[in-house]
Amino acid sequence: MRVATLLILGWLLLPVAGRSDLPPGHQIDVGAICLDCHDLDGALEARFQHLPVQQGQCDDCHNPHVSRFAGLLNQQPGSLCITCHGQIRNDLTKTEVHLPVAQGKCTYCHLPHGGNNRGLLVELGVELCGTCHTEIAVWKERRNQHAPFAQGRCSTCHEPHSSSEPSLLVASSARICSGCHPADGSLREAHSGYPVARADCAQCHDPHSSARDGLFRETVHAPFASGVCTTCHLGPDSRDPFALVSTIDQLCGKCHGDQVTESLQAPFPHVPAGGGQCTECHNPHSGVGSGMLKTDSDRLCVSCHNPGGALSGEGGRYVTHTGDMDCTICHQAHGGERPLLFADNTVDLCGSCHTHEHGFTHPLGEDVRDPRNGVPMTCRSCHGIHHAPGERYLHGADQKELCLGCHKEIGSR
Amino acid sequence: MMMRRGLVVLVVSLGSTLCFGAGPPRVLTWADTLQGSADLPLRWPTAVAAASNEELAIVDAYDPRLLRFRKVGVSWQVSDVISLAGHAADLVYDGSAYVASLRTVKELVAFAGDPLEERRINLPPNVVPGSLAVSAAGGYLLFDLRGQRVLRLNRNGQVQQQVAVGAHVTALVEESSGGFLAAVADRGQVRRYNANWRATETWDLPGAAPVPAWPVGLAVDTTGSTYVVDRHSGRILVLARRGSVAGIGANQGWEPGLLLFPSGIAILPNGLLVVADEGGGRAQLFRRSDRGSTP
Repeated sequence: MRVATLLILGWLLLPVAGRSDLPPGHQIDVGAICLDCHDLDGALEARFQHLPVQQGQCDDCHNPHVSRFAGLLNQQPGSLCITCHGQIRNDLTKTEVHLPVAQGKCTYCHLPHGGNNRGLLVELGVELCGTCHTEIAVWKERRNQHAPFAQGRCSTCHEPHSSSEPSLLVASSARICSGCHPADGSLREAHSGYPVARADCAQCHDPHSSARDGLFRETVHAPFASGVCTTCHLGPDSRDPFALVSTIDQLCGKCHGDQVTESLQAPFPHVPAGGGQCTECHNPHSGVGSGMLKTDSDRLCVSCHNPGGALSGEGGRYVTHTGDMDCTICHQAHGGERPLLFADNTVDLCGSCHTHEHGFTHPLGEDVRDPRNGVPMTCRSCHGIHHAPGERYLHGADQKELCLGCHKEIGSR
Repeated sequence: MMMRRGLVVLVVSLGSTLCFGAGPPRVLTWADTLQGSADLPLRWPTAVAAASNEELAIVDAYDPRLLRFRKVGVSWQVSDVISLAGHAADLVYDGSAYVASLRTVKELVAFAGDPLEERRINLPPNVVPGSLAVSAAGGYLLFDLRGQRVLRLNRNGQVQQQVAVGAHVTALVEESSGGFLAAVADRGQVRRYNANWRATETWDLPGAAPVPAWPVGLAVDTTGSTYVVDRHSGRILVLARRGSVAGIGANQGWEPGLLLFPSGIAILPNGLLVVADEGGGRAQLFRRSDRGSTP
């Protein structure tokens, strides 16, 4: 009986497992069988084919019978690719990993069967990158464009998979720039005699495009525009030319006294601002927007408040307040009078947008105490701010459980 | 039959180890909650310090003020309240006084006596006081928010030693070696500095996926275990001597024993941990449950 079972099993598995053991003339052409039904969307006629496709070995990636994964894949997409493209494992260990790579979404950029671009890329250069990085379209509108960007050669400066440098750069910013712009006398001359060879060029120059000459960032700080660098720095010939003539907050406070005082005196300080470290967020030379931020505000905040966490809501079923939301709608960037730098008490703050919900709600406020900890009930007592496990951003995936957590008397009825 | 049953047991135990046994053990048990009194409730407690097993103090940022609690019988009761001249970044007990690091007025203030009286400790010009720790040498370690350096101060506020440590240091604690640990919030790390004040180790703290760790409080007990308050996850991470996670305690939440954006920690002589539960409007006491009972 047992022998018969083994024989039947062996016969069933033969087409999959025994291909190379069959004598010549009896081998099964898996690719040909598959192509009877699957035309691969013209991949076979394309200029380049994925090696397994070329060799008709569809079962390298797909299980012909059954699979737990979409497309009858043998494994999850990213893990499957790594079985042959092992070098991606090294990429994953670097400090900066391109999000699709980290998420195993190789097919965002690469075609799995065949295509007309090298590397089986879906598109080439900026056309490909621009499908996710929609800000590229805005940069393309600007008058002055950096040559590599204008030519769509993103990979001149950026690694597609991972890097040890920020923004997936192929090397440090100064090193990349000096590849085309050598650090000779003219460079120093153009920078009022300051030795900028090792500086971070992108601090002042937009490496993509700008409406300003010299690819300066959107807003230029008045003292910088005046060219009198010694307003803030020691002279270019001094021992430490970039050293400041006084502390950052004292320098900034000369013109922006209110903001500096607000930062230093806030009961709940934004950690850098509480110490007068204005340049943690602001660029003193040229920056983004009227606030001369180092980068767009949505990217700036998450450079410390990691997007892998609360904001992306990767682990929460329901994600709220993402996309175009500006963090400063709810949080005070310089620090505030309330915990978590909230701009107002939570009930009024939420109610300023959620006016409908504000009109009919669970009792809230100073006189209504949360029985769990005795503090006043607010919207946050039940709802998550950035992400939550339950519908309507409720803290509990099970709404009933959330309610009964306080209203125990209902549960006992 | 016996073999088959053995195989099933093996598979089940392997499975449960893989599924449930991978995380660090839970080593803290909730012991008590301090909420103040009806007329003096805690609102936004941001820092704590313990003088003895029966006395501790809490900074409440709501007013701002310092509340001293004493244990009367089995309950903790507010014994003194004193207004603070500015907003406190941290609070320690140096063996004779509670010392608050008042960021907004740029000075340290010591509170001692019964009732509490304050004594100002002047700081060097340009220092913006941040996190504070007690030094066994008889002074303090202070993070200068403006200079982004750690200073060793004597009891009169004079600088004895300093080292640049970078931005975003949210907690300090001295180790028995004379070195110190610094919590770096935005990196989710604790950095160890040796007796010569050189950075020797960096400990990456595990977040509660998907939220990265955001350390804001540090304490070291007599056995060398380090307790790290993770503000974002509401957890307390218990680290062994080389930074490996030996256990965790608490979690984010509202009920007693859970923490909501906690912001400070201290250890009572009997080993109990007291945590400033800022979002929960209370302080909570925890005991190590993996070491037998604490007195």
